[in-house]
Amino acid sequence: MSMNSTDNYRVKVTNIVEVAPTIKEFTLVAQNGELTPFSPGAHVVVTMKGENGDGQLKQWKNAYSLLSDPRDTSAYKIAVRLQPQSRGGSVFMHSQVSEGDELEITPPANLFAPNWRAKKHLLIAGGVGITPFMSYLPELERMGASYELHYAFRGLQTGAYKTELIEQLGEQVHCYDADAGDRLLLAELLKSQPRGTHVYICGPELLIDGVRQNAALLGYPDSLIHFEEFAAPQPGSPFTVTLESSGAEVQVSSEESLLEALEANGVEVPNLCRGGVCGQCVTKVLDGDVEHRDAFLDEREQDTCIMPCVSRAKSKTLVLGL
Amino acid sequence: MTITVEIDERVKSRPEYSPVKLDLKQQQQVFISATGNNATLKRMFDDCVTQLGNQRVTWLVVHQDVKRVIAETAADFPLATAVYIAGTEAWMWDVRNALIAEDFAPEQIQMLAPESNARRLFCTHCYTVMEGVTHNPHSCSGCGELLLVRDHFSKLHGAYVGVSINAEDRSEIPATEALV
Repeated sequence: MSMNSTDNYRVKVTNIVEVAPTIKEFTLVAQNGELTPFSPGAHVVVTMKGENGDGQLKQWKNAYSLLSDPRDTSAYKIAVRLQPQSRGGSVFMHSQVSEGDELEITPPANLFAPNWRAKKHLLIAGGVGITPFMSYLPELERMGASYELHYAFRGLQTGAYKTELIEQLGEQVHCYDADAGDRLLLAELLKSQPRGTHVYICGPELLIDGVRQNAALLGYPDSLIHFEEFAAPQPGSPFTVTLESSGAEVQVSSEESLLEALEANGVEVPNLCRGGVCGQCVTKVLDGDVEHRDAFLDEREQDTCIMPCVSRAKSKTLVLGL
Repeated sequence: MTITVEIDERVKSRPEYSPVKLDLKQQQQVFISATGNNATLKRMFDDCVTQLGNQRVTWLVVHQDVKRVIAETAADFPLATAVYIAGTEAWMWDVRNALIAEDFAPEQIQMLAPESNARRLFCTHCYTVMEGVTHNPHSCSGCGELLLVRDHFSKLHGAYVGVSINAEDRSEIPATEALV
């Protein structure tokens, strides 16, 4: 069956492995068409259809980095960290999805590709933030590129793939298990890098901020620092939005994002990352106060726009140019 | 989105040279010129020495062979280096490109306003590169074509693009005017 490059894939979950105490890895095989190769750092958005805690039908869409070899088109792999405090997508993946089940995924998109002109690649991962780098490593190895991976985790919860990484890549991998008292000393690490080193960070906000601050103190130019943080939308107070075109009202509950509420009401908004970074879902705000939680809009744009994937209303209502 | 769109009449590739600011946070400060005579650059250098002392400030005059000299010198500079360049436009871009080849990031390099309006010109017909072009149109020293000196700028070559000004009617010879 022929597919367009923008069509979603129906995939079958062929294998589920617990790769760390809170992280499960899913192997996905296409049921329609053929999976495309992708570039290191790419992600897909997974659509999950299930029931929420109250037994109501609910749909989640979460972005997950692809962690398989980018040139392997037989299957994709993603890893999901269980986050019981979040909106439920990771809980669904951990508790409801079994081998043999079907899911829907978007084709890969990339907001975190390596800069191939770098003389050296310094990869810094925190916890499940190892995933995009799993797709970097085969390509860096094939190119004979100079790189180091520094991987910080909590051995009692995270730390997926550490054994195989050390086995396969040897001294290019440095692991820091916080539960064993190993510390990743960012200032020391960054101080010793040669000019032409590009730095890539994926992990919790604290790690990203730590690297950026240390790099800034050492005089690293901004263009050498790359980071990816899929900030899952955080809950907030419920609010109501009105759509300019139809006058229809959409209720946004405290546990769902504005984008999810719009989609649940049949309003399609283009989106890629669902984490406030890519800019695709930018939407005009005609009235109301916004609590901006994205990393995309600049101050001027914040006056007139909202990123519905992560941001919410400060006021009780918003009027959107949709 | 209700963001006002301002139509820019300028050719977008033409560089703009905003006032240069000392970036004193950087560990090493490097001032580069071809002559050592640029008064603005000298004043910035003196200011920098006053604030940071001699150790962290370098005055570098590169008479010729930009690529080789920069490659040899750059190795001594730390990652946190700020570079300031003064000279003719094409020469400054040569220095910048040599620095980028040595893994400097573009935002580490600042260029002063060019010392003259003279342009390096690249003939799109025979690929000849001409230095010090001050008037439009300009006769190509390679193929003799009468060239319109465009504002379109190639960062890679540090040159403006020249295209035939009268390809359709050879008898049409526009009046010569000074470039700005």
